[in-house]
Amino acid sequence: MDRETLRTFVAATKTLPTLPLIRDRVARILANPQSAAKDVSAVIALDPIMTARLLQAVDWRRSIFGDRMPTVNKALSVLGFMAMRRLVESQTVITEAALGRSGAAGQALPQLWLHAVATAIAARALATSIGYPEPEECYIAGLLHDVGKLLMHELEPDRLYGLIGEAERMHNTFYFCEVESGSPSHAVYGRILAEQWDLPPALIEAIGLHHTPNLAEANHKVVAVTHMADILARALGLGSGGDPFVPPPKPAGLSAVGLRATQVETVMVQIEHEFAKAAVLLR
Amino acid sequence: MADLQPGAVLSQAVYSPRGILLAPAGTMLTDTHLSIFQSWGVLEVAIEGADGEALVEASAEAIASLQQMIDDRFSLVVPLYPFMREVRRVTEQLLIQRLTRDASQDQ
Repeated sequence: MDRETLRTFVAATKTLPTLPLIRDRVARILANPQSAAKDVSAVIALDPIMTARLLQAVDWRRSIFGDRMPTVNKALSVLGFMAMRRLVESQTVITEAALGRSGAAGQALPQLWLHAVATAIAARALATSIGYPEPEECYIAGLLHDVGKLLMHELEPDRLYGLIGEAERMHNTFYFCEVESGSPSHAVYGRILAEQWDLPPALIEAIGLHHTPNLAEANHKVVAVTHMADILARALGLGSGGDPFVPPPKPAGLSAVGLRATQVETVMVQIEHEFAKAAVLLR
Repeated sequence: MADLQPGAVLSQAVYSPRGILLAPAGTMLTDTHLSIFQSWGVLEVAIEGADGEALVEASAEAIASLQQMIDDRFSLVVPLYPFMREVRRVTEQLLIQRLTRDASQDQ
């Protein structure tokens, strides 16, 4: 699909469907009068789709957030439980048929979600290690970086599964096969979607440039962190972005993050530990 | 490190990662013992060798196939510069820990 057609389709796409398991879990927690905001935000923060919707709904430009992107928890506090319930009620889910097809392709969809969470956790851990002042911003960037693949699943599932199969045959990454195909990559899909949904600029850049951090400008740190977080999540095999490989880091990404080799072990141990806890919530 | 063979004699007791006694010191190992060690996630045991006590890999097969998987996973990172070499090293370390953890949780 070329960019123009893509833009037209995306303009008509108000939301993307999420995994039934996540929608139901959020709904259950919201329905429980004992639930605290942090219980709800903990589950929302595992879902790129609902996190994006929350950011849209809460109007992240509001001065209450200052110049920074709100955290999921802060955004939820501002939006309130009532409005969040309405948001969840209007949240669509992926169909049984689509899940069945994903199952046949090695649980492709749940694996995309797990990869998103792993990248989010990795991004936050990296940001903390290098002293970047907004680690939660990096978490959201990591969570949403592959939203273009979820859009592709919605608009062109055949293309998505075709690329997954191609990556396996070529013994290379999903992204490599996208670039080889000549059609816009999931990074482009994601950027167009993020622009349409009017998400914060740092997110738009992280989504659109996480494979080409050398092209990042205003938010090059967040983009570089997202680039490296994707690599670490893939190294540990936490979920799957459509192929089992670790791509070589781009020099621009590696140097912008500036993580020393001596820090690698601490960061990766933390990612492994945090992901194990988050994965329990997704079961 | 050599592979563990039946007929080897344990110089120390073997415990599962969770502390369950699997075989006391002095046991002469059979194939049954070896497959028990594999499934309980025991990675190495101390046996009486010709030159005294030796540490031997108990789950060489599991570790070898894990290393194969990691080699494949990193096959696109060529050349493996120091930073990514470290990432690969830590990956192997953490994945072996998962092996032992998963094995002990199956009990």
